[in-house]
Amino acid sequence: MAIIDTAVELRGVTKRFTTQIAVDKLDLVVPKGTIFGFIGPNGSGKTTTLRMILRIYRPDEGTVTVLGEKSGSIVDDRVGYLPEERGLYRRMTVRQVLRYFAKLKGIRRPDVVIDEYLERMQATAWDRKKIEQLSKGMAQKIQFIVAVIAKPELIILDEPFSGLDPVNMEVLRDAVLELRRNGSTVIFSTHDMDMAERLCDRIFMIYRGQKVLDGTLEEIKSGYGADAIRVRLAGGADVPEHLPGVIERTSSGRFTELLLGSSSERAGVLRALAAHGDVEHFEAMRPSLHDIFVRIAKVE
Amino acid sequence: MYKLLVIAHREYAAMVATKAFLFTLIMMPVLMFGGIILMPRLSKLGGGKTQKIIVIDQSGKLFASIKSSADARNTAVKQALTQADESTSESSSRNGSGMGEQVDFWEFSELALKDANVDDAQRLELSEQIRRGELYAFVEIPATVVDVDAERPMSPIRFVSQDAALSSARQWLDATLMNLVRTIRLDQMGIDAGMVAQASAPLQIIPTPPYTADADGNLNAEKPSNALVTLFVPFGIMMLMFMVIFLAAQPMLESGMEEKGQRIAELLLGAVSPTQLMAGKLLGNVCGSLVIFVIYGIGGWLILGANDMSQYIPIALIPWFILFQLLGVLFFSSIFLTVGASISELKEAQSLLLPVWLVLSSPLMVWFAAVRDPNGVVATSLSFFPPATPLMMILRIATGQAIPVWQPPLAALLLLLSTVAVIYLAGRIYRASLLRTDSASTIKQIIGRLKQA
Repeated sequence: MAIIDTAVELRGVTKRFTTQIAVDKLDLVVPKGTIFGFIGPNGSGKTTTLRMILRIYRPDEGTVTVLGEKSGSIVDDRVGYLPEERGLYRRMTVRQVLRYFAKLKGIRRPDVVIDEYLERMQATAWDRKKIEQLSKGMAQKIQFIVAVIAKPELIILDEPFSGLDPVNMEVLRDAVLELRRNGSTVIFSTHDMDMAERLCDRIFMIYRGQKVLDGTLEEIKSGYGADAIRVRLAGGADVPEHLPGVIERTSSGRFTELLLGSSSERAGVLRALAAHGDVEHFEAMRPSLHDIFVRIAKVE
Repeated sequence: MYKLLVIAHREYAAMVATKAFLFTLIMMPVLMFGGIILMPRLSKLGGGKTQKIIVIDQSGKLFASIKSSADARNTAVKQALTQADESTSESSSRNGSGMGEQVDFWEFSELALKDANVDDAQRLELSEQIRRGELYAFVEIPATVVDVDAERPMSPIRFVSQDAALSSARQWLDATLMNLVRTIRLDQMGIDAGMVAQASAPLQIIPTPPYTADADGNLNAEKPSNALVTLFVPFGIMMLMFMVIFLAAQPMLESGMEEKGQRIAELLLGAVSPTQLMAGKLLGNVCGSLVIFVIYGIGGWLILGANDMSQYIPIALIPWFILFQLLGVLFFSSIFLTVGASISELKEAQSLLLPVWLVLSSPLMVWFAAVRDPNGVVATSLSFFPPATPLMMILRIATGQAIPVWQPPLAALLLLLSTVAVIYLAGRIYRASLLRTDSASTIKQIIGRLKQA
């Protein structure tokens, strides 16, 4: 029996809604056991792609292979899903909701595993509370439990950290890392680029339904080179708007970030800055994932 | 299959294990049938007053008899009021107060006339007394009322009171005076009133259902048909069907709205397919509807049994009832679920579902004609129109009249085919609507989603 080392594979996948193409001939491979960052601006086709992986939508063209299965709902119980749009039955208690979704994932006697997850997520005290009584953060934790309760091989988390305070964010982040340690594959869709940088083994960016980035963070960053400079002038003086070779200037409070053109040299920029004032800070830097994201999404 | 049962179980529990369900379960029959049962009792409240009535008897021959008849009637009413409820009703009915009305006592007195005539000033004075509440009514009986001269025009009797048109005293007086005047007129004509009464004795035609025979071939003694039972037992059974379908379909609307509005649908679709989800919901809903049927069925059985009317329970009807109920619930619940999943606000549902309600309840508008003639064109046509089939066909069967044996199975088959088609189409719209954030507030928009499924 062949060992399958990819959790998800999309080949030439296209999905249209009436006349609009949401996903356009997309190729995507998610290796098993990784935390796979799936990023892209709003309306780029992220959710549509995730729904195709979950078999909620069928592709108009191409193939979607999930855990080795090309069609059908056979993988339902092996896939966990935390959608971006959160929602639970408001009048049910936490345990009732967890029991219901655990059973839908094929767990016949779910109470033991529910207790285990409630304890791990520090949510045991909410066991008998109705969902409508929970805060947003609490409800989000319960939804996370719903997604992982069946110990799925593949977990799709769409913006799992939005709305969480830093403490709960850490609890959830640890839980995600533990899932990977236990061999699960995590597809992590987010707009939080810092979190994606810290958490993901690979990053995939979709834009206008097409792949624009795919690789490890190192591979992606090296592709963009060290074409950015972070500077500060003494006394907080303004960095001039027009500098030779600088194609973009972004102020981030104390520092100003300058993006160089392909043939520009850092020395020329430094000379121009020095002519303008006392240069207090001058740092050559690689673009962050955030920068790369913004550059791609801003270009067109 | 296991997932389908899990969904069905949750849907069933969400439907029946709520206070709202229990409240609606109780209130529906109370609102629909309570009026019929309670109105006669409620209308008796406030009875037992003595109402003063002045008689202006210009004939001089009637007052004494009126007064003695009224006294006899008052005595009978007093006795009846001390007896049990049912005997009160019977007695008061017999004594002219009318079933289900207030039972008051009438104190008749005669107005002495100076010159055998009443003038307008007296009429006004008596009317003022009525308005002030000192007097209930006055009756003006012209002298000519007992005349037998056909040449002389007969003056009318006037009964003056605030509620003259509806007064039970006027109704009683109408009948009483008719008898008294007829006796006097016959006497004047030299005809024996006793013989006339004998000749006019009313005939009795007993409405009887067709006879049946026991095992030995002997005729069973059938109870006479009761007009009210003949009308209201089929009506009650049709209303039971209406209540079961209503109580089952309504939660589907709320369920569809909740799962779409609260964004639960996407989480569910991560675990089951839309088809599984819809099938599970409908299964749970059908089970809930059977619980409603059992509760109302047992309740109706107990009530009819307690009133010695258990022979009117049409046991042979039960399989048909369950069949049409199941199909009707599936038909309407799938529509309600789809509408719930297509909209964002309840007010949108009201306008979308109005045509559905009108079609479902169309048999309610023609039930009287359908009970009287269950094989008529209207009743027969409606019973083959699938959305109206559950109510109309069960009403026709419940009349007990012979409807062609092929009609109920054919109507059930048509309803079954329609239900399958509706579930298929509703399923496609449901699938297309569940994850959409926009609302389809018109029928055209909802149908448009068929193309997107």
